[in-house]
Amino acid sequence: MAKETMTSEERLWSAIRLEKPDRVPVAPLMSTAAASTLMNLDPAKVYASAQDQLDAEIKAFDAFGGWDGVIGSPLSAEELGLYFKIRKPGVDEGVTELQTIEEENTKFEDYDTITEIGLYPYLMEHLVPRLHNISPEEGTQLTDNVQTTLLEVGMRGLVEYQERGAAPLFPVWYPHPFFQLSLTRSMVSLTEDIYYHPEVVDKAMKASMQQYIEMGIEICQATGLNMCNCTEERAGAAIYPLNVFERFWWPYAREVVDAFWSEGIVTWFHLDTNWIKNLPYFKELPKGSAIIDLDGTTDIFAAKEILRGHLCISSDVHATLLSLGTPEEVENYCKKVIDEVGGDGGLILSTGCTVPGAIKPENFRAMIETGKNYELSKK
Amino acid sequence: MKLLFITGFLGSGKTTLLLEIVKSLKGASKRIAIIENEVGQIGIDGKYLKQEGLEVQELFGGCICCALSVNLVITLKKLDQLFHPELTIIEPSGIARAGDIVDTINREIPDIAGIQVVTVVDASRYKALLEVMSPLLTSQIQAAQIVAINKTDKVDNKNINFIVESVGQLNSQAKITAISAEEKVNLEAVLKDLM
Repeated sequence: MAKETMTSEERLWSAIRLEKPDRVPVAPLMSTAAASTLMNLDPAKVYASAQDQLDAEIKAFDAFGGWDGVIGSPLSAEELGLYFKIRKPGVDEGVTELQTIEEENTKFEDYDTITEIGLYPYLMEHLVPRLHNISPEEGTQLTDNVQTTLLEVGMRGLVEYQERGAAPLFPVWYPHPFFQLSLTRSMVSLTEDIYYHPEVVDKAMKASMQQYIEMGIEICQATGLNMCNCTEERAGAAIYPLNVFERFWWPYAREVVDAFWSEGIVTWFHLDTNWIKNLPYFKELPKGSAIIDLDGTTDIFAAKEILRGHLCISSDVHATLLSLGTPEEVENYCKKVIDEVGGDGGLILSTGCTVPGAIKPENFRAMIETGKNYELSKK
Repeated sequence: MKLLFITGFLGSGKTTLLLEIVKSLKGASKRIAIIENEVGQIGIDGKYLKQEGLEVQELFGGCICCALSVNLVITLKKLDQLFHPELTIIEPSGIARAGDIVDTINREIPDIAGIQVVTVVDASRYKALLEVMSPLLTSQIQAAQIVAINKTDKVDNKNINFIVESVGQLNSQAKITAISAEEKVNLEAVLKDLM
């Protein structure tokens, strides 16, 4: 068993600073769906409120012996339901986890408004009222109420997890504006906009970035954390070519990191799909200013060769392995990642994307235990 | 159990083609199941199809990330146990990469009798997608044995010829057919290739 000489907080930040911690920090990205499965809870009851979601996730944390890095605030139905139609356990038949229903909720003519006031005021004052059939004032009030609730849940989560010795990661999931726009405009329509009206998308992005940065800093200050999430599921080179990425995603991501970094905040990039062709761009970022969290689709070993000594990698025990594999397979994969990616530091052992709802408890235990107990091979 | 994937980007006409395929198979004695997964509203009427004797499963979790493959494998295994379909038609989310999903199924369910992939391409948006979404479009075309160039009623012959040539360059092994699923043009050619 690895001898522990660091707290979870020290271990996590040692990895982020690209140093070699006493052992690899373990930080599975828990989901409420997975917590329900792991604890054999009724999803309908667990998803009743964000507080119930948090309770389920804490139960899973306790039942599996805890780990190092945690997210205080679950991705809640209240939050998703603000901006999207959703399918929710307990409401929609056969549904065991939250799902957004993608529609063209943001119309092309809304770009004028977004360009004028920015994406986030637009969401609150225009999109939320439209989706919920309420006035703009009521939309702002509803958004404020949900955000207040989520902050309360998040703060409780931070306290509860810190009492258990865990270290908080980022306060909330925070989509890159490009991803947010893709979700509300719909992927089809945004893609057509990029082709037919790229200057309109440019203007909307430019009008939104300062707000995104300011809100990210505010959230970190309100929670006392110095890590901010930036999630992107769609901009990687598995979907869009690099010229689209270079124009509509990367300059903004770099601006975000620079602004956060100047405030002492590191950026946790949660990057779904294969990003291997995009990763060289991240070497432009200040050393240690971000964590690259991969979902198991990007070759983590190749990613390490690109980012070695520059940025910490988090990942990437794949959902397929966790849900369909055996504990031995999970253990062997974790050991390989710890040896080959974490051998010189700069690794957080995590799940590829969030812990899947179909997780096998014995596989989850194998991942946690291997991370906590495996001593790095002397290579 | 054999699998038939009907893939293609969002809005390409996958569901319309799926329904036409189902209609054409209705007379046959095959036990058919359908698995639907989409990030938007599901376009088929599951209750109606169930009345027609088909087993319909809606796959939740429309994320393009890895959980889709997991949920699909689990659903296929469950269907096989409960319904014993001879053929399962799968319409994955329009933002899924079919090749990756097929790889996972081949690895996790090695006794599948055969997998066929039909990729539906939207002729009216082909040029736009080829320019600004080439990696996803290319991966979907390259995973296919059959490429159905749909909505050909909305573009001229010059465009259709361009698309046929372009698709052929991306996947020289695939059978390429220009159709209009909505107008029921040339569907029999796709159905014949499927049989």
